[in-house]
Amino acid sequence: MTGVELRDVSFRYPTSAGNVLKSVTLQCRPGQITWLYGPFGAGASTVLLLAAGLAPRHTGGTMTGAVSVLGHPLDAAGLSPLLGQIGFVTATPHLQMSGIAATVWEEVAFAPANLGWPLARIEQAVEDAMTALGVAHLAGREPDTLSGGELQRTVIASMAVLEPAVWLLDEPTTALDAAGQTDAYRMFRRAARDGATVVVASEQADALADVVDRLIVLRDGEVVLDGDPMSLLAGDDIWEGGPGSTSVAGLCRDASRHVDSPRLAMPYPVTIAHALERWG
Amino acid sequence: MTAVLTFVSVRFGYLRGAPPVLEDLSFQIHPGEGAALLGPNGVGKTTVARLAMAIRSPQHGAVTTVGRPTRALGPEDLADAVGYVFQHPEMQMIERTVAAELGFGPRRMGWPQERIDKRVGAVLRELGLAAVASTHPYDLPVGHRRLVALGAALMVEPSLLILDEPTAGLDREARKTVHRVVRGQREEGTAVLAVTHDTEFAVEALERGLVLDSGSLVADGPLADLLARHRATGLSLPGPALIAHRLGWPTRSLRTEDVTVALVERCRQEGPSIS
Amino acid sequence: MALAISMLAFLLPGPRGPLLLYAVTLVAMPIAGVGRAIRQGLFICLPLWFFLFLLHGVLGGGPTFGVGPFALSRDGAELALTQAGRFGAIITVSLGFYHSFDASRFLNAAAAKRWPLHLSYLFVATLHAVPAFLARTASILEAQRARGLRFGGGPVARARAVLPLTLPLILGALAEVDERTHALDMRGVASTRLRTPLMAPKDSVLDRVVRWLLWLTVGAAVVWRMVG
Repeated sequence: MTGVELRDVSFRYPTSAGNVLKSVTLQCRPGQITWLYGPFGAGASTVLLLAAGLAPRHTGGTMTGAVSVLGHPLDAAGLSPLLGQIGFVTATPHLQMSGIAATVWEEVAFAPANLGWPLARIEQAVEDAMTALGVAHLAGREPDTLSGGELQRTVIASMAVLEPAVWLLDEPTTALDAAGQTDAYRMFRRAARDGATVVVASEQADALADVVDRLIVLRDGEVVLDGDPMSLLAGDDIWEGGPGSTSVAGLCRDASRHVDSPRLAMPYPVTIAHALERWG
Repeated sequence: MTAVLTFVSVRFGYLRGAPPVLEDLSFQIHPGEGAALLGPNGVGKTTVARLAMAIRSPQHGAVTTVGRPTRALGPEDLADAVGYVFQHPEMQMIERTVAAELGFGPRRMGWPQERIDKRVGAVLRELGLAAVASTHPYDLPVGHRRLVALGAALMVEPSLLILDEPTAGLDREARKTVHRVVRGQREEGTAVLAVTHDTEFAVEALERGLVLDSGSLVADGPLADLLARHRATGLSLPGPALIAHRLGWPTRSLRTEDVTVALVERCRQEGPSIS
Repeated sequence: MALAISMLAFLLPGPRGPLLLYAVTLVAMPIAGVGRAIRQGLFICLPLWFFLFLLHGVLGGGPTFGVGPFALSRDGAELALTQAGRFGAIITVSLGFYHSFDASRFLNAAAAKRWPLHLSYLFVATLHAVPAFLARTASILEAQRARGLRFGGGPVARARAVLPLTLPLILGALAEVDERTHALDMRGVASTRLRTPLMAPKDSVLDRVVRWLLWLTVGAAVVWRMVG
């Protein structure tokens, strides 16, 4: 199996009271965008750290079960065979800066330079990545002077430059305006189409509903729902003890509590387009 | 009504010789108003907030905050009347308990401990965080730490609240708390200027939109109108609001609560038939 | 250059040697564009010099000479001058190095010379830690000023205002290290491959000449000391 796979994985951090992940089995396939959805503490971020080989190697903690990425099982060997093939983006962009790049261009070039790519290849890849994320006009700027949104785009670009086969994203677009969000997800969609395995952990249901191919809902370290995003988002299970669905679905569900009407019956409309069609 | 915040023909740039970030910017905010400062990434929204708080001074024009010209002042001179919440305030907690963190400002200003304790209690209750008064801020999840930062800004019962991306990265619960608190503050007469790209927050808690582009205001008016003109501003309404707008539903406001009411009404009117 | 001058400072016979060296650094710093190293150097050195003169001048034995009402030892004064020159030169040139250090150019140069990446990154990151810490401090201070923290009145008052913040500052910075390391790891900092230099390091003819001259001078000084 390729892509990202967790088989019966339980994990606890050195300082956590109990297991953060409890016997989790899930699979994120190549060519798809898989959405890990759950409130803070549900374990979505931990899954990403495990898949990146950063946990338990960097973070400490104990793990049982098996994690494999692109067919490579991760264990004590850790990361090295996959270096340069994983695009890892966390929710705090300013902690992802190299801190030593004089310009945005150098920041984006940081990773391929470390990996010893030939300069010509680096130049092309950096230009492509900066254009895809809309930061080409910032190439000569000092990274310290970027705004929050520009920084987040730069961070994504500095991973996109590697054209990774696996993307592990933790709330990657929180500082981006609507245009930035569209650019970013367009790029992720293109990556998936080209065969990459894209995994995104996020609570922004509205933004992700019609962009992802597979939805896995986590709660308290366990997988509670796993399947087609649209059907799951249109149902009730995702509300009962889950993180909830999109604002449109929520609107319909709340209204249905006050009045009995076939217009408000399940399956709830998930996107604006659905709603306009149903109620227009 | 005297304005709580006034910008008059403000020009500002960070680097000499480089084109200014803000050019000829003018606007006013009055008590009880909630203004969303909108615009694309990097356009200068945070800069406006920092000028309003006297963290920087404009090169031309004037900024007057709570009646005080900012030219000769620093943020510490406005702290008794203005609450400012930075981006990523979770990185700036410096005390060992939430209660101490909230009390930091008032202690600097010489409040008696009794008054501090009383106000801390009230603020924590308003935020729904009374249970974590003795918790270390870094033990709280990011969303709660943000709320603590908001609470710290509320301690002085400010006339003006300046918020920089207060909802970025927060979960649904925390966002709803922010909406509720900001609305509540406005009802008490506090003016609010919020830098944000979260149109849901803008619609739920504010009513005026200031759109910044290429250094000046390209639009200044009721939020509903601005956001409805999607193409013009590059911004879009949140889901429920957009639906109500497109389908022409009569609503009291574009807040989800009011859109729900309108939807319920329409279904009631239709009766049991599926038209 | 910093290394060479530091070594020379100890090799050259004093007091004229080190003093001359100090004069050289005074000239060289503005040329390198880091004139403020001189100012900062003086800030550190002046108290040091004063103390040196006091110590050696008063406690040194041998023939004395009068300076106003005080009798200072001649040998002591000579020794003090030597030390003063050494300190001045070393401190000033070190500051100059710190200020002129350009992390990315260094990394590129190191890569071109085929140094292993994690070593050069370690070196760079250590140096960079200072400005990063300062920047973080600045932003936290800003946030506290917005809550009413005042520090008028010069460096002492400022230090007193900052003091209660130091522990949380350090703890906060440490707490961030983990996450920073994750990101860096994923971007290949621990890679054992040779880093690609992103631009040809500017090693002009002048640079090379100066470097050779410096090393020759050091070599000559060593020989001279051993022989003379």
